[in-house]
Amino acid sequence: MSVSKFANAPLTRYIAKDASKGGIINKIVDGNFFASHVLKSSPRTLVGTDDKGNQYYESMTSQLGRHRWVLYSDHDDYVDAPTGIPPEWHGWINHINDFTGPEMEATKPFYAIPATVTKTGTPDAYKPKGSWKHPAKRSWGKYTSFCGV
Amino acid sequence: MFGRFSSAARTLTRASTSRVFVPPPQVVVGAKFFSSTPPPVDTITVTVDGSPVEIPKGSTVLHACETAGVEIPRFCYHQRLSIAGNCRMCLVEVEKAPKPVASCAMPAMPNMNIKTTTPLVKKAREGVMEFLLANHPLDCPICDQGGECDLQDQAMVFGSDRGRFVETKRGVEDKELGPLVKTVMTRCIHCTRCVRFAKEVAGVEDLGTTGRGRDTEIGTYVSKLFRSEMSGNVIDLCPVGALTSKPYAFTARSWELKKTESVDVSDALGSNILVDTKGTEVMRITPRLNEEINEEWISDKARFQYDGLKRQRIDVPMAKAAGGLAAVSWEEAFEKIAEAVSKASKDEIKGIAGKLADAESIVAMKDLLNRLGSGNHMCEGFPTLGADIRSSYLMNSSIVGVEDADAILLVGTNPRVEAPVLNARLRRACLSTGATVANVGSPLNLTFPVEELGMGAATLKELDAQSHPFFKTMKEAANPMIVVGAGLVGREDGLALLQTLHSLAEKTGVVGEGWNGFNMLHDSAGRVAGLDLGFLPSESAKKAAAKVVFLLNSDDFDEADVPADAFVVYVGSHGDKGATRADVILPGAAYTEKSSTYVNTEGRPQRTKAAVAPIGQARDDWTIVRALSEVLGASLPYDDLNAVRARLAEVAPHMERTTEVEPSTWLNGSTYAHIPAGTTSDAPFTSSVANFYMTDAVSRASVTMAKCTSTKLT
Ligand code: SF4
Ligand code: FES
Repeated sequence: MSVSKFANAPLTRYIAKDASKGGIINKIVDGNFFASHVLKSSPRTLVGTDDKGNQYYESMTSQLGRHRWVLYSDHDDYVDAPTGIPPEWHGWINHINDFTGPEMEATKPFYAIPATVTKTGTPDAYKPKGSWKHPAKRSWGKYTSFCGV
Repeated sequence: MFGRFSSAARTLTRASTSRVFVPPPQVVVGAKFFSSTPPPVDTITVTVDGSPVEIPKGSTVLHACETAGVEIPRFCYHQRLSIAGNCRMCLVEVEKAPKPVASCAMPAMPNMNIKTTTPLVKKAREGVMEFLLANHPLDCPICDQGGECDLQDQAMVFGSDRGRFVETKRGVEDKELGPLVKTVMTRCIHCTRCVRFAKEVAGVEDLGTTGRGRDTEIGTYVSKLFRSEMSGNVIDLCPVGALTSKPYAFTARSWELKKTESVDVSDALGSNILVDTKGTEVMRITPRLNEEINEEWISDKARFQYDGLKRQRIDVPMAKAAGGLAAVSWEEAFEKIAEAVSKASKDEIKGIAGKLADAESIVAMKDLLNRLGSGNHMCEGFPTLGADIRSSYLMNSSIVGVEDADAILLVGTNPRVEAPVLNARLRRACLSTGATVANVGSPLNLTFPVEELGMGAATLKELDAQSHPFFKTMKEAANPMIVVGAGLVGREDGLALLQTLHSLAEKTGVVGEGWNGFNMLHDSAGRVAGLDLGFLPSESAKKAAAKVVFLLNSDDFDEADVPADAFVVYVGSHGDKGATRADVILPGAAYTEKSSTYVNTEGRPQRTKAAVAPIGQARDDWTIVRALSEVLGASLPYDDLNAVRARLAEVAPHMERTTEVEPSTWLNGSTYAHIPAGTTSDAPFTSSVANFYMTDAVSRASVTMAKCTSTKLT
C-alpha cells in the first residue's frame, strides 16, 4: 500500500489508522459527520439513550425512512457499528415498530442475558472447531500429558 | 476391511482361464452359520465355468464358485451371518434355470452347471448395480467409507458410466444409535447385515427394517440406542458408508493409514487387531481375523478406547515435590529410587504387575527384584492363589472349545462385560447346539437364556453335595464346563471356593479324556503372563511389609498391598490411580507403542507390534526396568528385545511359540487336596468388571468410553 511510504509521518499514519477504523476523519470525509451533526442538527428530538450512552434521535421533518438515527457514544472500532445497538432499540431504529428502548424493556424474556456487541472481526471472534484459527488446530501437540494431579 | 472384492474384480475381469482344482476344505464353513448340522461327509461335483469342482453336499452355489476360485460380487452375504438373499448382487447363471439365480441362497445340486462369465450374468449384475445406485447418494468424497467401500469397488466394475435415473433420490432420516456408530441412512442399500448381526451375534433385537420397497428403512423401531458391547462391528459389516465410526468421522481417509497388526489388551481374550495410524497418531482400531480367538469381531472397548492413548499421558519422569508431582530428569528420578531402595531390605521391596503389564517388563521386574533379594512380587487382583499348576488359572477348554460345551456353569463372572466376544461364542453354544447355561452369582443378562441357580457359596456347596438339580445336568452332559470369573478369584475366600469348584469338577466329569472344561476367565491382559512367569509372592514375602513398591502399569491395586508409608514407583503410560499415588513416575509406552508379549486367558502368547513411537520421553517398560537395575546395582543381563525374549523363553518356554496354545496337564485335584478347607463368606459372587467401558488406565482416559458410560446410565 502506498500509505507505507509515509509511514513515518504522524499525520498520515493517523489518517490511515482513522480511515481504516471508521474514525472521525473518515466520518468527515464520507459525509457522515455533516449529515448527522449539521444537516440534521435541528429540528431533532432526543427520543432516548440506551445504557451504553448511544443517543437515538428522531426528526419528523426529515425524509420518511431517514427520520431516525443514532449517534454512537463510543467511537471504538467495533462498537461504533449497528451491532452496538441493543436489541430493545432494534425495532425502533429499523422502523419495525414505534416502541422505544424503555418501552421494549418490558417484553424482554426472563432468560435474556445482557446484549453484547458482536465479536466478529475481533481477536475474540468465535472460531469453530474446524477453523484454522481454532487453538486446537494451531497446536502441534497430539496428546495431552498427565499434569501430576 | 472388505478388501476381498478388489481381488474379485480382478478375477472377474480376467479371461476365464483354466481353474485350479481346489480340494474341498476339511471343515465346512457352514453356509448357514447357525445350523447345527455336523459337517457333511459326502461331496458332490458341480461345474463352475467349465471346470469341475467337488464341494460338500448342502453348500451353496456361491461356495462352489469360491471353491473353484471364482469370486462372486456380494453385499448381503456374510459367512458368519444367516443368509438373507436380498441384495441380488450375487446373481449367476445356472444351466436350465429360467432366470439368473442368487448364488448365496441357492443350494448346489449335483452336476449343476454354473456360469459366471456369460453376458447374461454381466447384464444382471449391471442391472442390480444400477438399481442400487439409483437411491444411493454418491457422496463418496465426503464419506468415511470411501476407499474401503464394497459398493464403491463393485461399482467400479459393474457400474455404468452414466445414469438413466431422472427422478429425485429418496431421503431417509439418520438414526441415532449412540456415541459409537454414526449413521447416514440415505447410503443404506438394505443388505440387512447389521440387522442380522445385532440379532444373531450381538443378541440384541434393537435393529430392524421398517417399510417396504422404496420406503424401506433400517433403524431402531422406536428411537433408542444400540445397546451392545459389540456394536462397533456393524461398522465393518456395513458394505457401504451407512454405518461408520463416530469417533473416527472425518479424521482420516482409509488410504492414508498405516496398518499394524497387533493384539488388543482391553480384556483377557487378546483379540487380534489392526492399529491404523497416520503420522504419530492412532486413528482407529479394527479387528483382524483370528478364528481361534475373536473371529472377526472385537468389543467396543477394544475398538474405541484408542482416544485414551492421547490423553493423560505420562511423557516425562516425575517425582513428588512440594506442590505435587513435578517433571524431573531420568537421572534425578533414578537417584530418588536408588535412595529409597537402599533404605529397604530384601522382601521390603515389592513389585505389583497391573492389568496392562507385558511379559517382557514382568520378567525384567522379577529378575530385578530377585537380584535385590526380594521375592515380593504379585499380580494385581490375584491375591490368594498359587499358580504352580498352569491349568488352575487358564481357560483350559480354549476359546473355540466353548462351543463344544453342552452344560456351562458360570461362577462369579459376567462374560458379557468381561469378554463380549467370548459371550458371543457362549451365545452360539447356547442357541445353536442347545447348551444349558447356568449362573451362580448376581443375576446376568447375557443376551441368551441363563438359569440363575443362586447368589453365592451356599449354592456352590449345594451343587457339590449333589443336592442341586443342576448337578445332574452337568453330570449327564458330555462336555460340561465351568467358567470361573476373576471376581471370584479376587475374593478373600477365593481359595476355599476354588476347592469346592474343583471337587465339583471332579464329580461332574468336567475334566475327562480329551476334554478339560475347567476355565478361568481373567479380566485383564497382563494377568496370565504374570502367573506364567511366577510373579507371585514367596512364602517369606507374604509377611513382609513393603517399603518400596514398584507399580508396573498397576492402577487397580488393592490399597492393602501398598502401605501408606511406602515409597511408590509407578512405571506406566497413563496418569491414573497408580500415578497419583506414586512418589516417582517413570513414563512407559502404551500397548500401541511397544512390541511386547501378552498371554491371553487360554494361555496363548501373542505379540503386539509398535504402531507409533512412544510419546515424549517414554520408553518400553522393560528398558526402564533394565536401566533401573543399573542404578540399583543389580544389572540385568539383557540389552535388547531379543535377549529379554530369550530370558522369557528360559523362564516360560511357551512364550517363544507365540499364537500357539501350550496344552497344560490337569493336576489341580492333587494341588488342592492338601490345602486345608477354608471358610467361605456369604457375600454374593459378582463380576470384577462393574463398568464395561472403563476397566483400565487407557479406557478410563478415553473420552469416547466416558460418553458410552454416561449414555449407558441414562
Ligand atoms: S445400514 Fe449398512 S449394514 Fe445395515 S442394511 Fe444398510 S447397508 Fe446393510
Ligand atoms: S449376496 Fe446373494 S443376494 Fe446378496
